[in-house]
Amino acid sequence: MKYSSLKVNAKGKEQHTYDAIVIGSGISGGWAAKELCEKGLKTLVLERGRMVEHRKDYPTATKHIWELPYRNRLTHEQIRENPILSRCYAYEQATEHFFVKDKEHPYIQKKPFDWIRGYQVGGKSLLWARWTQRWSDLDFEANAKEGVAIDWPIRYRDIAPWYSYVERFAGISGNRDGLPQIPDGEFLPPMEMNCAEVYFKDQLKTHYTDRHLVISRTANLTRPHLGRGPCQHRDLCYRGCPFGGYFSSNSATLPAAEKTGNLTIRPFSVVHSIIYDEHTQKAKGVRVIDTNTKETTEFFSKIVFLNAATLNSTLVLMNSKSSRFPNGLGNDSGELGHNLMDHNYNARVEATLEGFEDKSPFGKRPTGTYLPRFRNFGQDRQSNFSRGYAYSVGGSRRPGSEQGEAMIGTELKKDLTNLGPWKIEMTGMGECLPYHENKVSLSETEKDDWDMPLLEIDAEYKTNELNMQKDMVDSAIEMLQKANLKDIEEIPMNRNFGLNIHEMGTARMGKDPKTSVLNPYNQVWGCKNVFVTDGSCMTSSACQNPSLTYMAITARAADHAIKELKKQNL
Amino acid sequence: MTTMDRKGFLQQLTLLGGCTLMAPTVLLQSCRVEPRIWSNLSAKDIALLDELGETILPKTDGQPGAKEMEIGKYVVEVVTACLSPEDRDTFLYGLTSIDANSIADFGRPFEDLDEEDRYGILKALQDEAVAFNEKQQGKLEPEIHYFSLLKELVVTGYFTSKTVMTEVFDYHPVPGKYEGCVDFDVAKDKPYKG
Repeated sequence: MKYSSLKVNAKGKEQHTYDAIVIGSGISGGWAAKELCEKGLKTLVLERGRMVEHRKDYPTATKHIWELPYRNRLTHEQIRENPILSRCYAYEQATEHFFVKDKEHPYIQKKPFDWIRGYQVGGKSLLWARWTQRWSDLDFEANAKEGVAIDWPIRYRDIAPWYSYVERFAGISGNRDGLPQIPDGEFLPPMEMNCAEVYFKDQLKTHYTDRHLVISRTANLTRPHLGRGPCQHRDLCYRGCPFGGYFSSNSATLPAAEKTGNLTIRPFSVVHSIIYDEHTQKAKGVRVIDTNTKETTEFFSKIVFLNAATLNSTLVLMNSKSSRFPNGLGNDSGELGHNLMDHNYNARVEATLEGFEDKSPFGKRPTGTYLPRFRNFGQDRQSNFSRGYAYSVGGSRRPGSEQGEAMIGTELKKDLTNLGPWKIEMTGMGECLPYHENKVSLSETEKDDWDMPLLEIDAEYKTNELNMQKDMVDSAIEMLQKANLKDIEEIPMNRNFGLNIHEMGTARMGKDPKTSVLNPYNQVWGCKNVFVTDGSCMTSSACQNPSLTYMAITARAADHAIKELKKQNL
Repeated sequence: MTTMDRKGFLQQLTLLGGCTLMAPTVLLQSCRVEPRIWSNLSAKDIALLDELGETILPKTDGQPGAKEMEIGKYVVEVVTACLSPEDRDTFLYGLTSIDANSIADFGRPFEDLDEEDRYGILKALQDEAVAFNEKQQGKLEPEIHYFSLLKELVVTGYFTSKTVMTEVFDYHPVPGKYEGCVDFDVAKDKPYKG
C-alpha cells in the first residue's frame, strides 16, 4: 500500500489535497475507502495507529498454543496494567498487539464503562465477532411506534439493497430461514449446526411457535470468495487470518481500494478536528496530528467520511469547534454525545444434554447458533420491558466432565482425555434504549499526549434493560427445561456498559436538524460534505450485532456522496 | 483456610523454626528433616513440582505423565509471571503445607515418598479442596484452595503441551472444515483438538 511520507506541513496545499478523506480504517472506514476509490476519487485514509498489512502483520496467526508465551495466558502484569482491557474475552497473548492498552489512551468514567479499542489499520475489523444478522423494520420503526427518542430516518427498504451489496462483497455464510425479524440476505452456504443444536432447535419447534434456532449469519467464508478464503475452521480469527477466511478491512476492503490506484493510507495520524469553512459552509479538510512527531498537518478534500468508531468520531466532531459550531460540528441540536447505547449481554445459562455419546464435532466453527428475537414481536407482549433480545446459543462437546473436579491420578487423566457430555450455553443479547442522559463529553481539564481532550463517559443500563435481563435468564432456563436438559445453571454476569463492544449512538441520524446530528444520508446537518457512517450514527440499537448495518449504511452514504458530487451539490 | 490463618501459619514457621511446632509424629522422627518454607519459586523447585504433577496426571499406558511434559518448569514460569500476588501466596503456602504434612506423616519430604503415599496426600487434599470450594459458593469474593490452583496449573500445562495435544488427541490445527456430528467411538477414537 502507498504510504504518505509527509512529515512536515511544507509541501504546499496541493500535495495535501485529495478528493476525499476517510478518517479511520476499521470496518466502516474500509468500506468508505473502497467505495470512494472505486468511484474514482483520490482518497486519503487517516489511521491513528500503525500499519497492519494483511498476512504479513499477523505474527501469531499460525502459532500452536505451546509456542505462545505462557501458553497464551495473560501475565499478572498485563492484567494489573490493563484492568479494563483484560475483561475483554478476546485479549490474550496471541492477540494483545491488536488492542489499545489502558494506559496508552485514558478516558474518564463517570460510571463504569469498558472502552475496548483497536488502534491500527483495520481497527476492530480484525477483532470483531463477525455475526451479521440484518435488521428489519421491527427495529427501524420501534422508536416511532413507541414514541422513544426520535424516529429513524430510514426503513428496511432503504437499506435492504445495501445489505445485499455489502454481503455480496464481504461474503456472509448463512441459511435462508425466512424469519422476518432477521431478513434473509445474499448468503454463502451455511456452517453446520451440531447434534446438541439440532436437538435443541427441534425441541423449540415442539414446544413453541415463536422460537427458532438458526445458524448465525457470519462473515466467514464457506467457499472461496473473490480471492479470499475459504475459512479453515481454526477459530483463531482474532489473530488475523492468513487464509483471508473472514471479512476485515485488511483482507477485503483496503486491498480493493488499493487496487484502484486511488488510495493513500497514512498511519500514525490522529485527527484533531475537521476544518469548517464559514464561507462555503462546508468542511475544507482536517487537522492531523502525527502521533510520533506530534506535528500538525492539514489535509484538504471535497468530502470527509468520519469513521473513527463511535466514540472517537463523536470526539472529533466535538473537538471541531468554529464560530458557526461553537459546541462541536453539527451540534445545533445539542444531541451530539448523547444517546449512547451498548447491548446488554449479562444473561448466561449453561446446561448439560444427555445422549449423542457416539457423536462429536470435528473442527472449530468460528460462529454459533442464533435464537432471534421473540419478545414484543408477533403475538408476544411484555408488560415490564419494551423491545427484545436474541440469544447466542452454542452446543459443544469437549474433553472432561464435572466429575473430574474431584479426581486426581489415572482417574482424572482418563476423564480429561475422553469427551465429556454435550453442553448448551445461551447468552442473551438485549437491546438497549437510547437515553438522552447516557452520554459522552469532552473533559475541560484533562488532555491526552496529543493535546486532545479526554472523553468523559457517563452511561448505564436502566430499568428497561434490567427487566429484560431477568427475562433473558428466565426464558433461557425455561427453554432448556422444556428441552429436557440437565444441570441448568445460571452463570452470573456483570459486564460493564461498553464491554459488549457495541457502543453506538452519540451522533444520531434523524429527519430533523433540531433533534439529530446527521441527516438521512449520514451528512452532518449544516455541513453536508461531512458523512458520519460508523456506530455513532445509530438512532436505536436493536439487538443484532451491528457491524453489517454500519457497512450497509456506509456504502449507501458513499453512493449518495458520489451522486451529490456529480450534481455539484457538495 | 483464610488469608489470616495462612499468614499466621507462615509466621509461626518462620519465627520458631519448623521442628518445634510440628506435631508429635515429627518429633518422633527426631527432627532430622527440616520442613521447608517457600517464599518464591525457582528452578530448584522443578523436581518437586514434577513429582506433584506426575501424581495428579501420571504416566499411563501409551500416554506420557506430567513430568515428561516438563510440568515443573511450566508451573514455575506461570506461578511467577501469571498468578496474582494473592494466588501466588496461596500457592506457596500450599507447597509449604504439603511439605509439612509429608514430613509430619512420613518423616520425609514429598519427593522421597513412594507413589502410593504421594497419591494419598494429594487425594486427601483434593477432597479437602472440594469441601473448601463448596463453602465458597455464593461468596462475593470466593477464595481458592491451594490444591485447586496446583491442579489447574498441572492440567493446563499438561493439556497445552505439544506431545499431549498431538499424540493424545486428534490434533488438527487447520481442520479445513467443521462437521457438527461425526461418529465417535469412546473406546477407540481420540477426541478432536484444534
